[in-house]
Amino acid sequence: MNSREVKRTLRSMPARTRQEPMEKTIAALHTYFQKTPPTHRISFMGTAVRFVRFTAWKIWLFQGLVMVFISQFLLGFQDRQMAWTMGTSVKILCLFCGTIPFILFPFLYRSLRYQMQEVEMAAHFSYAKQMLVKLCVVEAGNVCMLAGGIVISVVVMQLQTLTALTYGMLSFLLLTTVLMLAIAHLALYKAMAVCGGSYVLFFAVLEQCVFGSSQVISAPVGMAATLICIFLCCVSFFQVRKILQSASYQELHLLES
Amino acid sequence: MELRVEHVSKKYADKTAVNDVSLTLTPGIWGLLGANGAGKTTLIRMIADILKPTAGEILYDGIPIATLDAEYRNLFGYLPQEFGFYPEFTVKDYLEYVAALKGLTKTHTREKIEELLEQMTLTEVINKKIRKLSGGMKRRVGISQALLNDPEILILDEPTSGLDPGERIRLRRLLAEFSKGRIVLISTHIVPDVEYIAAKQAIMRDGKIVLSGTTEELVRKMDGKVWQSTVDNETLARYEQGLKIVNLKNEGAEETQIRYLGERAVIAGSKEAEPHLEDLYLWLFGAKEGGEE
Repeated sequence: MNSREVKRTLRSMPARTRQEPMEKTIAALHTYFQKTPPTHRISFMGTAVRFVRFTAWKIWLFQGLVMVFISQFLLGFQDRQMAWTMGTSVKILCLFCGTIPFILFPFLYRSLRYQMQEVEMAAHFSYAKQMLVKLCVVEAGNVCMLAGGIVISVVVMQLQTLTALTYGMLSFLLLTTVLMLAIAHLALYKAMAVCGGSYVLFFAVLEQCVFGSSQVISAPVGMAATLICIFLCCVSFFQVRKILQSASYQELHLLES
Repeated sequence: MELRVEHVSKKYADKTAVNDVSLTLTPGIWGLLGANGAGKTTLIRMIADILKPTAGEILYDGIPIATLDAEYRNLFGYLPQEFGFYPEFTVKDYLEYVAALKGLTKTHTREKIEELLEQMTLTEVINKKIRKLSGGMKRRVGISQALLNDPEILILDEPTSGLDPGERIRLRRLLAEFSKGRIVLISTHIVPDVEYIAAKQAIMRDGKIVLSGTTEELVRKMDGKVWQSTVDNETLARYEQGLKIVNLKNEGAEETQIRYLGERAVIAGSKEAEPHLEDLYLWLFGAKEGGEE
């Protein structure tokens, strides 16, 4: 038989699948949805908006206060008319941008700290969706802080925009990726330890770096930096996906850590 | 309506918390009894779709709850054994927050919160921070959040912990009323809390269901095994060593009335006593293990 004949034969044959289990499932689902009363439910976006009222504004307020503090601190340097060297400016920018991702930690695990996670997990919206909202809220604030840090470094520390953008983004994305990898694969306290260790290592490496006085970033360096940023974004994205998949059940080490 | 737990197990690296448990829950109040570490909370978490079983399946009206997903979570209310709250939350904030997570509309939330706070006598503390409430009040707030979405299945893990006797009775009344046409599963090691309101019980030990049935059937298993006798205080110490004494009552300065368990009367003059569920619990677990808090 050739493929055409096989297809013709298969089409003409009666269906061999057992309909009974499927029919039973359909009947059960039908019964279930018949008796389920009309629900007073809102969409996930509606809940996400209400989440702003309960939690998001506190996160953004905290991030805003951190920005105000940092800018006051740096403006204080400017008032004293200190000369910024390229190296100092870049190091301060990298340090600041590398610290921003760690703001995620206390807010992501807040429900664990206050024993709210079981109630939250038993809610209509899955814990994964709730985590996603928290991640979006915190990262939105983090991006604003990153932008603020870059603007301050340009205005106060006289860095060129491209230089500030390159070093700022690299530091931010590098430590964000480390954070996401740790959260996705390690139990809570191990993740905190790894992140702490990474930050110390980052600081130590930064200290050893020597930056010249020129702020010009060559095309190959710029290209390399861009590719690294894209790579780090991709890695972070996949870790976030893993975090959200694992968050459906407690296998995210929430209660087992 | 039926919730079927079929050969469910939960294994961790170092232990098996739940071992091949099968149970069919029908409308009414179910008590899940067992000592600490019996596996009750792990089983409850799997029924609440918070923990994934290592083996087995849980079905609601024949449909796996993993398939139903959010629709299943719409159906149940859950009060965990240890639950907390964000420190800045007032009672109203907390209930509104949980209502938002349950996807309830603002109008429905407002009406439901008013109704629940009245039932739980929490109306006066609606704007008070939860951290400033007494333990019993906090527990009532916890029960309120479980009832926000009018659940068909209510799962309560140690709901009476911290409640005074009056509050316990009020809660029992509320649950008895609520359970009509609904499944209510109460996990506890305080036996009297479920003995009078739960029509059916399941007793867990070391991750397995050792006994299940109606309360009456289970209590009848202790027929002829519960005894009452009055002994003088000098011999009491000897009996305490050798007998499973479940209750002691001073009868004046020199005598004590004891209630003990045994296949036969050990003390001369003992009378057979009417068994309670707690006697069965202590018979299975022993006074030490069963009484551990």
